[in-house]
Amino acid sequence: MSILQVNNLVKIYGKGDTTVSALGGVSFSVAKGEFVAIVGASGSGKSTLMHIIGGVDRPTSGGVTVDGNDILRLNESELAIFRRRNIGIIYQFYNLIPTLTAEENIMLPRLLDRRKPDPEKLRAILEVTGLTDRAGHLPNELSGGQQQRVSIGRALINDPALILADEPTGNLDSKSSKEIIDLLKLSNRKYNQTLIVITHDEKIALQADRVITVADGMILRDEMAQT
Amino acid sequence: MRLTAKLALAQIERSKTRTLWTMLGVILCVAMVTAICGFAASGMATFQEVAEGREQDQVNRILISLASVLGGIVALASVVVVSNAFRASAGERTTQFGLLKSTGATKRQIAATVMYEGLFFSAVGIPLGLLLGILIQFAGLSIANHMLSYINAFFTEDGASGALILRFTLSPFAILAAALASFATVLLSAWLPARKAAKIPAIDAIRRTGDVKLKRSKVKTSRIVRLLSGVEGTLAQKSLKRSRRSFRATVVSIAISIVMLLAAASLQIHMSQLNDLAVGGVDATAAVSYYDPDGVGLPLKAAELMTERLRSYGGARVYGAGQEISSYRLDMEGTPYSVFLLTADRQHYEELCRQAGIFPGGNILLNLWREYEGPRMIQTNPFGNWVGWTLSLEDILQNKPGPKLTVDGALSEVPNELTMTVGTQNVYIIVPELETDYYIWNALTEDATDFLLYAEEVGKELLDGQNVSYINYQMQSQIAMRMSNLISLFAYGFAGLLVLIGLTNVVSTISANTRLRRREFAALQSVGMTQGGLNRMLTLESILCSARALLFGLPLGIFAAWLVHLSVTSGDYGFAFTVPWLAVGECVVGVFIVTFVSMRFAAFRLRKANTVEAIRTEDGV
Repeated sequence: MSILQVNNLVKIYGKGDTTVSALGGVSFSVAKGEFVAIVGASGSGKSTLMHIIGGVDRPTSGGVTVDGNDILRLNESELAIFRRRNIGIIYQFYNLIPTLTAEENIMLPRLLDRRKPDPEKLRAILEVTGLTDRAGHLPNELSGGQQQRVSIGRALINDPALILADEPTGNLDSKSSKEIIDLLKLSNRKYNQTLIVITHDEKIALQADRVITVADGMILRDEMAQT
Repeated sequence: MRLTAKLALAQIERSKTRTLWTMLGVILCVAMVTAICGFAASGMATFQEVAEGREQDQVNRILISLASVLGGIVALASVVVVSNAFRASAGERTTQFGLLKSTGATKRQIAATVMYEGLFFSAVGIPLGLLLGILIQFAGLSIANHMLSYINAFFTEDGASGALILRFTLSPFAILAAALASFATVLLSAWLPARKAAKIPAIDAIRRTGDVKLKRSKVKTSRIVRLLSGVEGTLAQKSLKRSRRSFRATVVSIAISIVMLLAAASLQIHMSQLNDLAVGGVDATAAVSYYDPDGVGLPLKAAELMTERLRSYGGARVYGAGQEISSYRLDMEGTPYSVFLLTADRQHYEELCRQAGIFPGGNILLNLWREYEGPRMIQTNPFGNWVGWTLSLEDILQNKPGPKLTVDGALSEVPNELTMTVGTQNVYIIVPELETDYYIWNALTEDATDFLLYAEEVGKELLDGQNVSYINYQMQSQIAMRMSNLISLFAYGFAGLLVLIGLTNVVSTISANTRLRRREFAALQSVGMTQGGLNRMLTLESILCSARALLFGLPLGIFAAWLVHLSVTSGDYGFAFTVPWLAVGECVVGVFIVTFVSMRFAAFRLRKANTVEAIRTEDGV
């Protein structure tokens, strides 16, 4: 059963003579528990694709279904609520809230949902992300790798249907990059977490179950990893 | 054009909203300083004609010191507000400064680009501000003269003093002083952040690590806020604490405005209290009084006739009341009392007898004792058991026994028509007939002026116009009202302009803040905060910011009101201090509205910002 269904997505930026086509009709589906890498040169449209799947941007035409929900039919606030419950997003620049501690940043999607914090779950995530003794630190007291682990924790806290990661290692040194990849892979294996990672990084692409290559807003190749 | 100047101009063009609001703030500050200098100059010119020599020096000194104090407050608010705008601007350009430094710019050159911004604001803002200030001065003086014209009409007719007309003067010295003070203010405002920007090492500026590191203790939040308003409230409180410096300018300017408003309100309350005191709490708009300094009493018949004639004026209610100027001495079980005899016109005397429950012809004791305890007047009713007694009075002036009076009844409240004559630490007895050397007719009538013209004729006819004076309470209270309105007008105008300056800061701070926080907002939205939640967070920020301004402003304002109370109630007037609650309430409501509206403005701007764009950029946070 597919957890993500993308149908003929088209995204055109601008108006009149200056239009730029970022996506020119992209279709694919992802099964539950799959680890998919989307690779492509910069400007190929892969980030646009991710933003549309994550519900922060809207396509010009086409359809996106996440866990059976047609997310394009949701309005702004329904989409926000959907995001906080079903999608975990990880960015290249972490995008943590600077005034909240690591622990509070991880809990943020739950707090926004007015749900009781689940100490067991939090402890497990802090442990998995190796942040147990950093829980009370503010982002600017953490290294880049640690900040990215916080944002992974934030993505995991609600057991989302889908985790989207946009160049999660793009801003990190090779040692931290390896930690992040291992962590993502672990979440995929351990929690059967569906994972879509956009990356330049071949090492990540090699870890994935499936690699989708995007060029000029179209899918160039869609191949299962050779194992 | 020099490169540093070019960069400054580019920065001014980059953030148009902030430039506009900063410019408005500069213009308003300059205008207020100019207006204050102008008022002082006009005041000096006006009193130059009226006063002379030493008196004139004194007036000048008072005006100059008043102008310096007010100007100082404005300058302080201006430095806080304008330097905040420059700091936000310099903060936005930190990366640029790093680049400049790494390509070889000196500290001086970095500071210069910030100072050029200041020069630009001065070049445009000061001339406009001077013009606006002169306009305010002109408008203020015109309104003041309009309000004074009523008072002038009274005084010149009375011949008591010359007409007071405030003259509009353009003193080159005042304008120059205002321009220099404003220029110094703007440059100081620019210099503070410029010095700081120049100090940041190049590498820190490029990597933006030179910004003040956030400490956990600095963004601690209270559990109450979290319980009451959830995670949005916590975030609101944290971001306020983080950008405490930017909001400090807002808090300071709003707090100063509150102080001014409360001081003005307190002054107005005191003016109306003084006014009541001057009129003596009598329900009267005019009065005619008779007093013979030689102690010749007014014959009863003449008094009654006068009452009758005054009463015949259409629609006038007249109370006649007589009192002996000298008191009698009374020994009651070893305690000496001063006793005054009073009387009222026939009709009112009979009314008082009915109230006291006795037959006309009896003596009525006012069963009350007033004395001061500190500034407060207290009133007791200790003489209830005197009813039925016969009091032997003693004429101390002539050192012989006075009349013996039987107390037939008592009243424990001062009858309205006698209010004027009842003072402290005396005993009063109302007798049916008394030939007194002091008699007063209080009249309640719509047209006090015409009534008094009529009364003057009657006075001439019946009393030869000798020893008679006429008092126009209506006029007096109107003069007092107008004077207090005039003072309030200036105080409220001053406070109002300060509020405006504060408002320009709120708007420019918030728009700078929303730019800087765009990415943070985008991150919140991407993890699932709804637009409603974002609005709630901003609203809570505005509420907390208002609460902070009120926390400082209200106690200081009440203190200022108390200072006004102290300076006004010197000596005899024994008012207790009252907090101007109405004004406090107005301030609370006003502050919340102002900050709420400006935060809404920020939310509106935010909605236009593109989430996706914000999230991809590295700068910010």
